[in-house]
Amino acid sequence: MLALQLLINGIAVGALYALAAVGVALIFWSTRVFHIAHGATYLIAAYTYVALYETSMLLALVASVLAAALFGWGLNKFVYRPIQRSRESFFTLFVASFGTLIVVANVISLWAGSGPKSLPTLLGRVHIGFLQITWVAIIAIVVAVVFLLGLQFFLEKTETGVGLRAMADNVELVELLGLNRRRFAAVAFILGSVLVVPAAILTTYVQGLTPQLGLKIATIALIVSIAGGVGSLAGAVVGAILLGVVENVSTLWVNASWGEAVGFTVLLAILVFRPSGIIPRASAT
Amino acid sequence: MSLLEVKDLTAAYGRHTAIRDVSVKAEAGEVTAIVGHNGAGKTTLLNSVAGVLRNVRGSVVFNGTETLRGSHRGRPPGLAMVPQGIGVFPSLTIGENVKLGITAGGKVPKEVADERIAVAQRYLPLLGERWDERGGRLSGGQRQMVSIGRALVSGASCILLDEPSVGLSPKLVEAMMEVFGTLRDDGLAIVLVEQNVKQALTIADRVVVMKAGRVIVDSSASEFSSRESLWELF
Repeated sequence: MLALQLLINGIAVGALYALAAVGVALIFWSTRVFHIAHGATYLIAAYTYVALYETSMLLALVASVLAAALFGWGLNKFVYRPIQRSRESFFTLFVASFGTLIVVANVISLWAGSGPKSLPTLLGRVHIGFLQITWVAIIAIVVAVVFLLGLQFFLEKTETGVGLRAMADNVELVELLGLNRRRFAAVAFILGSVLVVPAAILTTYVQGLTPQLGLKIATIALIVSIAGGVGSLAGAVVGAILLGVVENVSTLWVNASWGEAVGFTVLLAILVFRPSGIIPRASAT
Repeated sequence: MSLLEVKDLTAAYGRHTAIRDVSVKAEAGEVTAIVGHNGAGKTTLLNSVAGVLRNVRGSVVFNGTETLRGSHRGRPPGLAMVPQGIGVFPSLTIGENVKLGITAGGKVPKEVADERIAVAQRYLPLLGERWDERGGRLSGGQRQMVSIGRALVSGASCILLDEPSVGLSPKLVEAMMEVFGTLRDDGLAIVLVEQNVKQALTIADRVVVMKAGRVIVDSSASEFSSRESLWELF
């Protein structure tokens, strides 16, 4: 029973990781930017929610979505695009992205303090037999499924979604055909940024919030999206769920503080034995 | 006035000037072949006209509108390009590949889009037969056909083709030239960049020869074919 309980907890945690990782994968997939500043988007979304939730949860949620989308869009337009225009390297973009994360985390520390923030318990637990499942876990799984299916529908059925998939295949060809590459990139950043919002809010309800969490979430999102298969959305989801499940289920045998290390070790082992990732992009959707 | 008029066009990659003072015209219902050796500047000319290159001076007037300056800067509606090499997105289906041409051409009502797709499928039956297959599963010739189909559905009145015969078997090239001929007869302006002069002459109405970034010959195809001295350029 404990194993089943841990498995469900792991899937819930993995679902939140998946929302963060898919955002990174989507952005890398279509723009070739290794967006470690996704951690900054997470912080902006979470702190905006914490600042406003007492006024109104709905207002806080809407403000959080808008802040994340605006930040992702603006970062692409005012930081990444000028660097890409001057044909600077992949590493210059990476350093700019990393620098942005550090700046945002420090600005938030100055504004809101570096101590932990927390939110009151949301809705309590559901008892099913021996199992105790928090409502946050149920919401996390449902929201992740809805968002990921929505993303899949968008990519398959809309003109812009097909354009994003074309960007993933061949950015130069997109430009040669006279398609609006900049519009597609802006959509990728806005979508990727919005995806991290539920992860930021729900994780804050469970674990609280500090400015240092930005780097942790960015690291998880990057590692999971690489182990899943660079640029593979399906791979990022599977990698994220796997990490969440291993982190939780491994506590049957090791101390809970080792869960994260065990999870990353499993992902590392996957990369050693399968360097192209769990679901390489060529065979992924 | 010609459908496409390129005048005194100079384009550079950084400090390297690739074409200089190039003037070319393309008329509706004609195939203009641009021929020349590797490095002559043919692809640069096409990329400049299509708005892909930015470091460009001179004038490109399409359908009466200057496209190098002002609010219409970039690729004008009605002008489509079929790039050299594999111009297909491998993970997209043929249908999705083709529909991107409609996206590139600008928003149109669904009925217009459906009509354009039906027309493209009439010219290129392969599109309809393999509509739901992934682009990555097609052969080189089939990919080229998809690329041409995508240009057609954009609503183009002028198509720029960059060496479409590269890497294809003679039989496929012949079939493709037949399609270009039909499109020309139906009133499209076709600008065909080719290294293979003989191939180009099978359908060309005008021949423009480029060398070292300049136009050195601009004549009708019949005149070109009859003057042996011009053949010596190759």
